Amino acid sequence: MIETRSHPAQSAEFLSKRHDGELAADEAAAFEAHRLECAECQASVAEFENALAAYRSAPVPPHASDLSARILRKIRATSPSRRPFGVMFGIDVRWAGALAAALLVVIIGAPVFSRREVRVGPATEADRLSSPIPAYVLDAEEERPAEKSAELRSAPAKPAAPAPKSEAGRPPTSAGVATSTTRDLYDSRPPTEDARESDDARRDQIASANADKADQPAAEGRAVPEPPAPSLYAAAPAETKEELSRSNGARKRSASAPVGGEAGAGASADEAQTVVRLTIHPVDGEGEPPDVVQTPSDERLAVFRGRKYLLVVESGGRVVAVAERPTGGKLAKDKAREADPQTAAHIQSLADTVLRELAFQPGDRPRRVVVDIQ
Amino acid sequence: MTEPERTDEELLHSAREGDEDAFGAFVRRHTATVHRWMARAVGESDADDMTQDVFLKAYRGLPRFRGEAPPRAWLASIADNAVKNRYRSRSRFRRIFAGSSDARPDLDPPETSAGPEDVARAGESRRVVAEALRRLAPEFRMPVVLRDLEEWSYEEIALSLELPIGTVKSRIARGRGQLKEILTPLLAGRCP
Repeated sequence: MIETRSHPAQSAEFLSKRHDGELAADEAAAFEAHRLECAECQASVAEFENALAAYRSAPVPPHASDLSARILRKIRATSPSRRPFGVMFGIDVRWAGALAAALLVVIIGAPVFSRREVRVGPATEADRLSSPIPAYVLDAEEERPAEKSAELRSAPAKPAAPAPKSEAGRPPTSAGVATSTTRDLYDSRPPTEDARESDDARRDQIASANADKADQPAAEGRAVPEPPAPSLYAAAPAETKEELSRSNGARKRSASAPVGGEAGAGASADEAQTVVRLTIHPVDGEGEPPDVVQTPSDERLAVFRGRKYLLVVESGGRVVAVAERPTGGKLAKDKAREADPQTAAHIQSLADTVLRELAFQPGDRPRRVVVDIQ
Repeated sequence: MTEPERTDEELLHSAREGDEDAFGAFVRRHTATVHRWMARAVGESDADDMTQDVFLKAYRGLPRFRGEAPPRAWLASIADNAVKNRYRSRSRFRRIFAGSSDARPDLDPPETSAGPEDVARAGESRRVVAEALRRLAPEFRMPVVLRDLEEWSYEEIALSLELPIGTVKSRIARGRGQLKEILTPLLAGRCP
């Protein structure tokens, strides 16, 4: 074997450095002096340079003229969940019609439902007439904490009337504006006889409660606020799929959004602070995230505010794995390192339990999403 | 008045937002380049399939593209992985089904039935080089392609392949050394 120290050109590293002009000046000069007297090194350098020259000069065949088109066809064929090529301005034309129709229904439907509500008892009617169109869709979920707290604060003065089944467990409120309007919007079926009777009974009670409060001054042109009617409340149910899917998978809540009537006024500051916003991002390249159909309570989620979690969702919609994601580049990593390991482990364990209570709309394949909790 | 051509970064950004026309434009812009890499890295006969594979992987990996490296460096990294995976899976297949444990299981067989003498004698540098590339270790192929065919800097290659620059230099030097060993007898018309 030839010694590379005495014949540097036997080393590929040396030849490569020489080729790139990366040898130190004295090293290069010494080698060139050696090469003049060493046939082996001369041959080695020549072979190296010839091989590279042949490699570089060999013609590269052109690609098939339809290769790009074939690639794009293949991508379309193997990625069905993505929107098709030809989407303009990010709008999928297949859904544009359905979206427009849904929007039309909401625009036309809102005044109709509002008018129906005006027919309710005198005090409530005044209140409704003076109110803007209630923000029923997003605010509906915010009523529940207030309702729950009202229920806890007040001992029932009267026997509780059964909640109408048509309301899907949604508790009526004394304020009634947002809740009943919401119910009407969500459930466009005509009310059953039982439901009508129950509504009438509730209205009577509301009217009588309002009569008791008739001496209270009206504020800013609004009707006299109605007191809570705890006897009418049913326990707030777990969030329903209907409510969640309405907010497009991610719950969009605003603590500052007005809640109609007394229910909103009754909501305490503490309750407003427990509002948690979840934003779902797909990370598997499969398009829109699946709709959320069930979430844990805000109180349980609040602990994870400011964190992001990667969720693996099986095709049935169940969360099967939870892993925390850094909330940003290096800073988040550093923060994670600095965190107390025991606390971090506890939070991860808690997240693993609580976030598995999230449920998504079933799909035809498992999904990976990131949930951003704010 | 024509619309100004969008940069690669803009196209990928739009593609990530769901604009697949933008990804189509990106594919058309880089098909020739990726095909050239693949023709050198895996041979002409498989270059089309491998080019397709690279863009398919790029499309699926769009959500993970953060723009930290230039788009072409990102593509090169996908190409490098595709080349190595190709030979890795072939090697596994051969071990399982043929019980083979030969020293170089991950390399391609000769492209033609002609011997090296015939190849060299024909003076077809293209075929000679193709033959040499088929014997080059997979992990050296993309680094050598990027350096000696595309003339990228070592820094750019290191960034693209997410390797330390010393490792990149070493791989390229060893790849060049292998090319010398393989090509010299072919060019001289001798058996290796």
